[in-house]
Amino acid sequence: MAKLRSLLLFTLLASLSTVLAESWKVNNINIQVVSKDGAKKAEHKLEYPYAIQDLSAEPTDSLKLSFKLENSVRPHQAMVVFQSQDEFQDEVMVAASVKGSGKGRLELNFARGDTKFKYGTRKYSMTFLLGGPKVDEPYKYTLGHIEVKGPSVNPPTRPTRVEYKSQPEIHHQFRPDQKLINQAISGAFTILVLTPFAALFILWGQLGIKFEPLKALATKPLDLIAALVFFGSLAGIEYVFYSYWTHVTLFPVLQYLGVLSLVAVISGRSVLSTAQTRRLQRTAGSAKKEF
Amino acid sequence: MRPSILLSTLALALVAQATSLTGNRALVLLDNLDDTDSYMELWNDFQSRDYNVTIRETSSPIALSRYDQREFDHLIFLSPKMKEYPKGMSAKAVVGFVADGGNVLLAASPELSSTLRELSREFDVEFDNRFTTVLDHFNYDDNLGNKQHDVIAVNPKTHMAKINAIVPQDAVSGPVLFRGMAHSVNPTNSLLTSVLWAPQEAYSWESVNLEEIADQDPNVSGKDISFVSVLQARNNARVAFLGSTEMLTDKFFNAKAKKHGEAETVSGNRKFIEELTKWTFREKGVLEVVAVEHHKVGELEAPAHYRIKDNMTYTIHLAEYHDGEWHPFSADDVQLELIMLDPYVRKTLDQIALTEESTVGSFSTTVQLPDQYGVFKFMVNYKRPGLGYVESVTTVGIHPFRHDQYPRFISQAKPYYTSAASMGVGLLIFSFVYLWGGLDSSAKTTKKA
Repeated sequence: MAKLRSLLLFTLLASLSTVLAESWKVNNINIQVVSKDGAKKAEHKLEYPYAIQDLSAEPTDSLKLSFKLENSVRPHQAMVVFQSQDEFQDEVMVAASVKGSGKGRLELNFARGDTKFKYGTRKYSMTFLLGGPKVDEPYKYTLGHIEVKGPSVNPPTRPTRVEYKSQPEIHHQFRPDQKLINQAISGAFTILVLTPFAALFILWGQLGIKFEPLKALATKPLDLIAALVFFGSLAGIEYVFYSYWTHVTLFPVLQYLGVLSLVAVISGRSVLSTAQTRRLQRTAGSAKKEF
Repeated sequence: MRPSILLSTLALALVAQATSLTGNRALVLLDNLDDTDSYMELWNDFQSRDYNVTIRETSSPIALSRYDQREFDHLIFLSPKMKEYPKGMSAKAVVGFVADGGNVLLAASPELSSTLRELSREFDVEFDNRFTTVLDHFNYDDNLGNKQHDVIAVNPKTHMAKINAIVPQDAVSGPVLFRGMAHSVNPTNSLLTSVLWAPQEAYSWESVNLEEIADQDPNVSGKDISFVSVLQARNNARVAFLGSTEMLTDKFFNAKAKKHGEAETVSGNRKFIEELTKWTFREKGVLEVVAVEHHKVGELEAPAHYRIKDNMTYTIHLAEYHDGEWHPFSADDVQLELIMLDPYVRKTLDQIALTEESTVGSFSTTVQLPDQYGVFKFMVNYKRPGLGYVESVTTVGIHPFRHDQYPRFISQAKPYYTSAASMGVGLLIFSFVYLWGGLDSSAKTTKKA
């Protein structure tokens, strides 16, 4: 009977211990922010599930967490994980030490802590994690948020990597076209260039040109042909110059010029000789008059 | 026309080979040949993909290359305890194997030796100390990890890289089970990518003596712990690092994963490893430049050289390899760069619409060449996560204007044109008036007062 009783007691105790060991019981959670010289800047008692929101720390401050574990089983993990609340979501896990009595404390000096705290002023969420191999249900308590300021002098930079993705388009800026002067100015100067012609025609008009030899040409067909050929060859030479300026290259131009100049020389001789006879007649006539 | 000819020759060259582009000779190194039995499903999977698998113990000598040619195409390390390399192999030989185009898969365990740790350092991967394992009291598997909380069920939807080229998001249906050692990848290395990482509550600690509390900050924790990471070298050879050999065993392939607090499902290990090995052994995610064409707008052939401010049409044909054959590649972010020391122009290429007969994906654009003359490179530098690297360089010369290619007639130069023309016209008018104007025949030329 006694054996049965002890057996019953044993199984009862065993089942009780498993029931007890299934979850963690944490009390007296106390969080403090302590400055470099030990002065307490903030102190809060936390009770699950209350989360503290307005904690802030300087880069030289320390965060102190203390708690009391009511379980007889010792945990393996008693840590606080800090997660930055920006787009990088960096994580830092800091361990607490738990004594045999169940009293646990965690001290994190931000100046000597992980480099991730020093990248800049960021807000972190703090989550208290408690777990062990013998207990099935772990304990998670989001303690709240803390803003940790980055160091003002020489903050370390976050390591970056070249991301393989499409890069921004580059459009080439072409050099602007050469700036040219106003069209009106070139128009004005074109007219200026043509003014000597006006002067020439005015002066010729004053001299009184009558085109007598031209009328006389009509009667002498040989001279007419020579005159036409000569004038035509001169006009042709001018046209060859114009076509050289627009599109013809040098060697064809030289060929044309060679032919045309020959024609001009041959016909020009007779035209110029008639002009010379006219001039001699005039001077001979005036010499006669003088005398 | 031309790209299809090139592609068909490429396809013919591959018809006789296995599905992997590198080749089908795989070498597996085990600590002990008795371990072969625990990976039977893995060997079956390799057999079905036409691999010629050679299984050796690390104590037997093996040569990775002979007469400067690779003897094997894929090297699989399932021997974490390996203290010394097999005779004929060394760290230098393995790195040379990768430089030669061979692919490597390295699986570790908490008993990882320093030789393999040194080998991983060559690739910028840092494994944790010996006899450490990853522990997670929040995400452990109830069936296998009940005792020590060291088997972690990883949710592929949240803790797997969203790179569809490596492991597609919808391919892995259940959690991936992991028991092994943590490693971290260098965050600045662009060639390295972490594919599977630990949940926030995980940490790496000694695997022995779990009675004592972990009272120091763990070396790595949370998402800094990488479970599986991959590296694609610049020559497109691929190396995969797994922190657990057990991930590949039959036990984990067939396990019913029950994450603590959730319902029971089949583990996603088999599909995950299948997709990972397909990627690592270059059976998918491989890109190839089939042809490149460039010519002036309106012409068909590439000229000997270009002239500044010419309009040029550039076309590149890309193909992607997966499921055993080449398919046309589709993307909307292939870019062309015109580079002479620095990029002068960078433009996104438009894809020509694919038809049923397309064998390659064609990307084309028209660009006006810059007004800087010199020797330029037309470069398509296409590197995306999970896909093979494409670097296509065409060197062309861009010449300045010839003397007769400048603007010919300038309207502001009218005074000069007019003055030259007036010379010629004036000659004609003057000679007409002089010859037949009667100035030298009139009796009125001499006047007497």
